Parts: sequence; C-alpha cells; structure tokens
Amino acid sequence: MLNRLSRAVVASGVLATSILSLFVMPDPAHAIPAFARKYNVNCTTCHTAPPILNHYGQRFLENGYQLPGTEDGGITGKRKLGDLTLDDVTNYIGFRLVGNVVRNWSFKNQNPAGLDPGVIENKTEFTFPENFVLFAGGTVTKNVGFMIELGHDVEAGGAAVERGFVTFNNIGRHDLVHLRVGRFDPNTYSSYATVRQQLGDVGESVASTCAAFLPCSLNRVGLAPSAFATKFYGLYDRSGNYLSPFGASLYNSGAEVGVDIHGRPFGDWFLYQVGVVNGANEALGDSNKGKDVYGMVRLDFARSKNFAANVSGFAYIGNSNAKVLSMDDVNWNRYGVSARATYKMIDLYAAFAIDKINKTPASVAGLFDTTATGLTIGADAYVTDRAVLSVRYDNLDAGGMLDQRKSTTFIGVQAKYYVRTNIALFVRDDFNIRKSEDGDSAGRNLRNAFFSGVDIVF
Amino acid sequence: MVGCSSHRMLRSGVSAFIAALQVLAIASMGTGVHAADSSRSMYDLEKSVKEPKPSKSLAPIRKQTQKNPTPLDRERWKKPVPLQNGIKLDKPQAIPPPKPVDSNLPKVELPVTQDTAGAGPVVVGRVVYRGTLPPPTQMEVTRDVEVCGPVVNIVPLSVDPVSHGVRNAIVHIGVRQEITDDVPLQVSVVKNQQCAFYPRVAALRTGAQTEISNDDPLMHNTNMTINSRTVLNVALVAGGNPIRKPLKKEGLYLIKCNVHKFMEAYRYVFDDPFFDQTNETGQFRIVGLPPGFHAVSVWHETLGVLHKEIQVPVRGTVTLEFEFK
Amino acid sequence: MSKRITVLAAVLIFLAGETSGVLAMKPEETRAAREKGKIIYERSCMLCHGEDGKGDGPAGWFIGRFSSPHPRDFTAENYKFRSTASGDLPTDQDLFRTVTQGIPGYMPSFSGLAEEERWAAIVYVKSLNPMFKEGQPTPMAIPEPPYPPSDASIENGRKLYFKYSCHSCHGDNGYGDGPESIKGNLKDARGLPISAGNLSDRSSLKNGATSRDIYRSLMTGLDGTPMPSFADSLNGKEKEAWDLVYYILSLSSERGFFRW
Repeated sequence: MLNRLSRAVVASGVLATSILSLFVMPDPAHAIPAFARKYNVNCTTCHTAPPILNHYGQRFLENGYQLPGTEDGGITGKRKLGDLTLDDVTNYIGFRLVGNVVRNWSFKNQNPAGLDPGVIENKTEFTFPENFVLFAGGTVTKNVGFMIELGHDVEAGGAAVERGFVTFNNIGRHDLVHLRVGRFDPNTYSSYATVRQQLGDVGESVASTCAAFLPCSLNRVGLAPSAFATKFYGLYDRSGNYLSPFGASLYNSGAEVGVDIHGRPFGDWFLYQVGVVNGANEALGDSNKGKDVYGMVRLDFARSKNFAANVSGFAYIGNSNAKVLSMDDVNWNRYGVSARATYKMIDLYAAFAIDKINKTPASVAGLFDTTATGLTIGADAYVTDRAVLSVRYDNLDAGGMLDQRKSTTFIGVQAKYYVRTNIALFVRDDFNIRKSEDGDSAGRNLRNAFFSGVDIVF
Repeated sequence: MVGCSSHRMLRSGVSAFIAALQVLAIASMGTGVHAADSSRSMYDLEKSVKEPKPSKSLAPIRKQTQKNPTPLDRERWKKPVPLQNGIKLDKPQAIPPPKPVDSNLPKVELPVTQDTAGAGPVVVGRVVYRGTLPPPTQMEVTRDVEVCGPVVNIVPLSVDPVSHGVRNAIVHIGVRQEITDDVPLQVSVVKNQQCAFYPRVAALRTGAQTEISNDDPLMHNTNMTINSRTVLNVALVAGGNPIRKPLKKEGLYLIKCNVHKFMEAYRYVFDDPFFDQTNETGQFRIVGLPPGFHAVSVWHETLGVLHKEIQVPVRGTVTLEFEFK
Repeated sequence: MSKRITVLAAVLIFLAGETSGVLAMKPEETRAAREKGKIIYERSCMLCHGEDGKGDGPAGWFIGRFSSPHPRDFTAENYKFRSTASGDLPTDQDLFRTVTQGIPGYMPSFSGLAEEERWAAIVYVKSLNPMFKEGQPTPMAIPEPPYPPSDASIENGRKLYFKYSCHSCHGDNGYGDGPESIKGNLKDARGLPISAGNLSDRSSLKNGATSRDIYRSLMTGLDGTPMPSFADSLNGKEKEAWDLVYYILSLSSERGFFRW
C-alpha cells in the first residue's frame, strides 16, 4: 500500500514537472553533443530518439564517423595533430548520465528461503542514475576514425573501458571495406543494435552464495532484450564466473575484442559484415586457443515516403567460448535475425536469436538443454515533438541446466520526455506476463518493476 | 562498497539533484505541442452587395487601376457585415488537373468577338446548395483590433435564400483541344482592406497580372502559394506601392496573411478562357466553346468539387444545374 | 541594356565573393553529370531528402518531427535560402552555398565532398524540378554595406523593426516569441507549425548571420515560410534597409561573427 502510494507520489512529481514545463516560453535548445557540435546540426539529424540512430546516423557510423558519402575526416581531419586546441576537443568528447532515480519492485513472494534477505521485498528505492559514460570519438584524418567509451556503473562500482576501437574506412573504394580493430560491439550495424536501447538494461541480482562453477541462484531477474541475452542457466566463463542468463552476449554482447570488416559494396541495399573476436566473455586476452567468428548480412529497403525498412541475419560460431559446471569447454553458437521499419514517427524493431550449445560433455548430457531462444519486439513513437512512448516485449525461452532454467516473458512500457533535445526524463514500467504461473523462481517472482529516471547527454 | 557518510551525502545529493532537475525543467523549456490551427477564418466583405457581372466573353477586359477605385468598390467594403452562417472548413480541394491534350485533334482557332447572341454555343446554369447552413463561426481578433474590428465573421459559403444559388463557385469547362487565342490578359487585384483580402475568390487566365495592394493603415503580408509552393510572399507596409506579379501556372492559389491568420483568399487560374465565377444567385455563363463532349467542373472552397460531362452543340444554349450536397 | 549587363556582372562578382575563395564553375548540365550527381545524391542526400527528392527520406522526418522544418522537396517546392526575388528559384550559386555551408542545426555542411562532387549533386537535384529548365533566375542586387553601424542607425533600425511589424512574429527583443509565433499561428507552406527565428542567436539564423546575409533574407524573403520579402517595401530606401539590418545584428551578443 505504502509502496504504491510513494511510487505514485514520486511519479506524479516527475510527471508534473514535465507537464508544467509545457507552459513555459519556448527556447531553442543550444547544447549539442560532440558530433552535433562538430557538424553544427541537431541531435535528430542522426538520431530518432537518442541513443537510437536513424538511418542517416547509421550510415555515419558505418562510414567511421564521417558524413555519409564523404571521406574527408571532418573539419578537424585536415589539421596536423599538433594544431588541435582545447576548443577542438569539444568536437570529440561527450558524456552521458543515464539511469533511474526511483525504482519500485513488486514481488509475489517476499524474502524466499535460500536467497539474500532484504533484496526480494516490495519496496521503492531512490537511486542515482547508475550509468555515467564518457566517450570520445570521431576522425583523426581522412578515413581513420576512433571511439573510446569509458563507463562507470555507479551501482555496481568500478569504471571500465567499455569500448575502444579504431576504424579504417573506405578501403579499396568508397564503402567497399571498413575495418574495425579493438573492443567493439559486433552487433552495431545490424537492424537492432545492442547498445542503443530506449529501455535501459536493469541488472539481475545474483545470490551471494554463488561461487565458481557452482549452481547460482538469482535473487531477481534482469530486464534486458531477450534476443541478445545469454539465455542459458548454468554457463560460466573461463574463470568460473556465472554467466547471467539475461546479460547480452556473443554477437550481441556490446563489447568484444577482435577485428571485423563491413561494407556496402553493391549499393545502399546490401551490407555485409564479417568478424573474428577472442570471444569467451573475456575482457582482455584470450585464454582459449580458439577464436569466435561471425558473419552478418543486411538488406535495406525503401528510402522515400518517410519509410525505410531493413532486415539482417547473422551467424556467430563460438569456439570453446564458455564452460559448464563440470568445467568443460563448450561451443556456444548463435543464429539470429533482426528487422527494423521506420515510418514517420513510428520506429518498429525486432530481433530473434537461437542459441545452441555444441560439444556438451557427457557429464551434463541429459541435464542440460542445449537450445534456447530469445525474442524481442519493440516500438517507439514520437507522440509530440518531444515525447516518445516506447514498448518492448521480451520472451526468453531459456536453456541450460534443467533444474535451474526458467523462461521469462516481460513487457516494458516507457514514456520519455525531452525537456531539451539532450535532457530527458522518463517513467517506465515492466510487468511479468507469466506472473500468474506457479513457482517461486526468480523468473516468476518479479511481478512488476517501476522506474523513473533521467537521460542526460552532453 | 559505499561508506556510511558518503551514503548520507549521496541521499542529500539525490534530493538536491531532483530539485535541480525540476528547476532546470521549468526554467528552460519549450512547448512541445503546437496548437493546432483548426479553424481557418474568413472574412467575407461582399455578401450584401451586388457584384457586377464578371466578363464571360473573349472581349478584352478593361484594365483596372488601383489608384482610384471605382465608387462601387468603396461602397462595397464600407458596408458593415451582418453575422452570417459560417461553415466548418475542410482543406480546399482543387479541381483535378485537366486530361492531357490530344495533340492529334485539330487545333481550334477562336475568333475574338463580342458576345453576340447566336454566334456560338452558350453554356449557362446555376450552382445551388439546398442543405442546411452550419452554425456561424466567429473568430476573435487579438491584434490590430482598431482596424480589424473585435470579431471576425467566417463566411465562406454564401447562398441566396430564394434561388439557393451558391456565390463564388468557379465553373470550368475542360476542352480537350489545344486553344490558341490572343486575348489580352487582365489585371486582377488582391486588396488588403479592413483586414481581409478582396476579392475573396476570383478566376483568372494564365499570365494574368495580380496587383497586390494594402489599403489598411497597418502591416500585412500577402503569401500566395500553389500546392505548397510559394508563388509570392511580400510584406506590404501601410501606404506602400502596389506590387504586380503574373500568375504563370494553372491551378488553385491560396492567399494568406501571416500576420492576421484569419485573412484568406483564393485565385483559380486556367489556361483556357472557358471559366466563370458564379454571382450571388449562383449563376454562370460561358461562351465561345467548340462543339463536342466536354467535362464541366465546379469548385467551391468549402463545398468541394463536382463534375459533369456535357455535349455542346454547334449553336444554342445548354443549361446546367449543379447541386452540392 | 548594357547597363543591365554591367549591373548583372557586378552582382555576379559580388556573389562570387560571397562563396569563400574560388568561384566554382558548374559543369555543363549533361546526362553524364546528372548520373554522377545521382550517385553522390544517393550516398549523401537520399536518406533525408528521399529517393525521389521529395523530402521524405526515412531519416528526414525526425529533423522537425511534427513541425517545420522538414527536408526540402526538390521536385515541386521552391527554396528558402536564395538571392532571387520572392517566388523565384535559386541561382546555382545559392544551391552551392547551401550545400557547402549547410544549414545550422539541420543540414550538415558538405564541404567534405569535393567541389565537382557538390556541383554534380546540384545538377542532379536541379533535374528533379522541371521549373529549372525555364531558365536561370535573376539574382537580386545584394551589395556590401554602404556604411558602418552607428548608434543613430541602430536606433532608427529599432523604429523600423516595429514599423514593419517584425515584433509580431520575432518578438519585442527578437527572441522569436512574438504573439503570432507563440500562439502557434505560423505555418510553413506545407502546413507544418513553424516558429519565428530567434534573432538573438546568430547560430540559429539559417540563412546566415553576416550583415549581407540578413539584408539578403529581408530582400528575398524565405519562400515556404511566413517570412516575407521586404524588397518592395524597402524599394529605394537603402538606408532604412541597412539600419534595420544593423538593428537586427545588435539584438544578438555574439562577437567574431560580426562582419559589416
């Protein structure tokens, strides 16, 4: 009761602020993040609702942060490095603070036995927006670009270089081959990119009893696109750390170390991508001899009447890139399709992935479901110039250890209001479609989660 | 990981942060939703005044000068306008473009003659509307009230109570033959008077000059568009000189003033001379047609468009009636 | 007649000076040039301006969303930023300037394309509108400012700002908050809501923020928007025109831009 009331009070406070601001005089937004500064354009030249890219922004990214069709490295590309001044630095650097200010959890059974006390309780919490990202990117000279992203998760603690890579573009001829080396998101050029979500990832809560190569209980499931998720209960990385069934991984992991190439050699309608990464969910270095490889193909349709659509398919072949509880290596592969359609104010996207574990050792045969699928369907719509409504459906058909796995199905809805072009407030609610099913597992126990927060980009 | 004291700092920082956000949100914001301009306003000056019969012949039309408007013009705009029934407005529909000219058909040379009875076929008729007139719509004037008056009446549909004739409809007969004639082109006026455009509706020949003037003691701008393309957008200062612009393209032109959103007018331009504008009893008359099957179209700014196929004889009168539903 | 040619030549030379540096010569409008331009158009322009040039590219809608501006429809509309009279098409140099400099806030600058590539794209874009075939429009005379700004000229300009009713859209202080703009009465030629320009922020003056650019905006008007041409009202009143230009410049505080 109290939780619902406090939740309502906070939500109405946030909403009231946004609504009140509608009655104030107009003032054009002045602040524009790095690329917008560099090219003197608005955010919406490249983004639908930031961080999601529109089709022009996607081509900009594919071209290594050069305007589509150009190869000149942008306005600072022509200067010698020694001439760069601090003023120029603003053309490279941006930062983002995004996350929840308020969270509310609602569970079916509170404080179940065997899990950490105080975590599974109906409650409303104030939090600080948990993701602070500092990024620098752009071009250094003609056809050479870079991006480095330093992320600090306030809640989990610690800062890390999430992504850092160098691109060499337009090798051969324009749009034939673009090369990317470093730590990058392989999924970024497909129809539905991992690192661009309207509904931010909410991490799961793992029980403190989890130890290397031991079964791990979840206090609370995570909320993230199911198609990108690990999907298996009972997988570990090479050090024995439990892999969250909800965390993004493989082709969709958002950060893999390796090299890949992509291009549109036959025109705008066809994109290819091929890559080789260390894989194995390792931050740096490669403790296994095998490399993971992947390939993706994307077809783009329609570029007029305010409509465009594209569809992509990929295959990711893993090579001893995970372990099971018997500490044996397995090959974990993924095959997926994704699609996107944009018409005026509506942006529709979907991804479906099938994960297969090969080379399961005899010790877990019969105890381990080697196939898992994930389906994510989402849509965003600008209902006014500044307000975006989003919805996302996630269905995770989990695999892995038969006694642990639990499929989940969630729907999330979000209303986001851009107070200014780069400052947004949002309220969001995720609800569990399967909550009426029996069982105390984490996948059934979380009934509803409510969030409200900010998204600030400079 | 986070220590106790910093936890407290964090909490107070959070509440300060939320307060700052609210201040930020209120202090620098813009309206996200633009007010929908649902009512297009009209100001019809001419309702109660008889209009001279517009010229339907091919005879050259006497050039009108703007310096000294005729006494009749003055009377027209000075008369007060009683409240009229207005009508809910939809976007004006233009008559669909004429069918392409069949260049295999013989070209028709039209003689330049006075309108003599019996010289050729005559198409006459009336455009009527027998439906109920919707309730009146009024727009409050919020700027320049001393010149425009406190309230503006929306009168796009003007129907004669006896004959049910619709005024200011435009009738056009599409002749599927190429026309060559040397009719001297007319000059048609667009006057900004008492915060309205005069005349509200007019039909012209391609190449006709429009002469735009401002007779009000305040600033107007005359913004002429055809199919979202700007033809002319000029600012007219009070007491300034009139501006001339030829209308070179066939079609429906919309004239608006951006300073006074209730001001609106229409000009319909045709490549051929077979058009007429209905008078206050809804009557029209078109002469000089070549015999044969032709398509007749009627346009009214709010009632829409009607079509009919007629057969025009070599000699005689064809009488038509168009009824808008 | 020869006087007209001299004036035209002078105007063209002025316009040439306006584009920084070399007067780039447009290639012949041949089919080969159009085809080359089409390739460049499809790489760089299509996603906002649409495959057919109708301004309906998939990325273009998000630029204005439910309001103006949307990308230009090259097939039927006229152009906003020109040096020609109201209702006329732009000159080739106008198009080259827009492509090279971009439109602050909305269209990036394509100075990254080589000059001949920009011209090829312009040749293709012109081929989409049949009205360009009717001949080159005549640019208006946009001279250099005849005198520097002074307190008296700015004060006179202020009076003119109110006389010409600029405040009804642009607001008493030029913030773009005039009554017609605030109420949402202003619509562009497509019927989309548009707000009056914020004259106090030079970086949002899309047609340029130098004194000559502002003079040009006043004279040509921005076709497709409620901003009219004042050429007829200011005909023969050069001093009034420049006083008004200086007053408008005085509404903003940015330095360095100011080149009289």
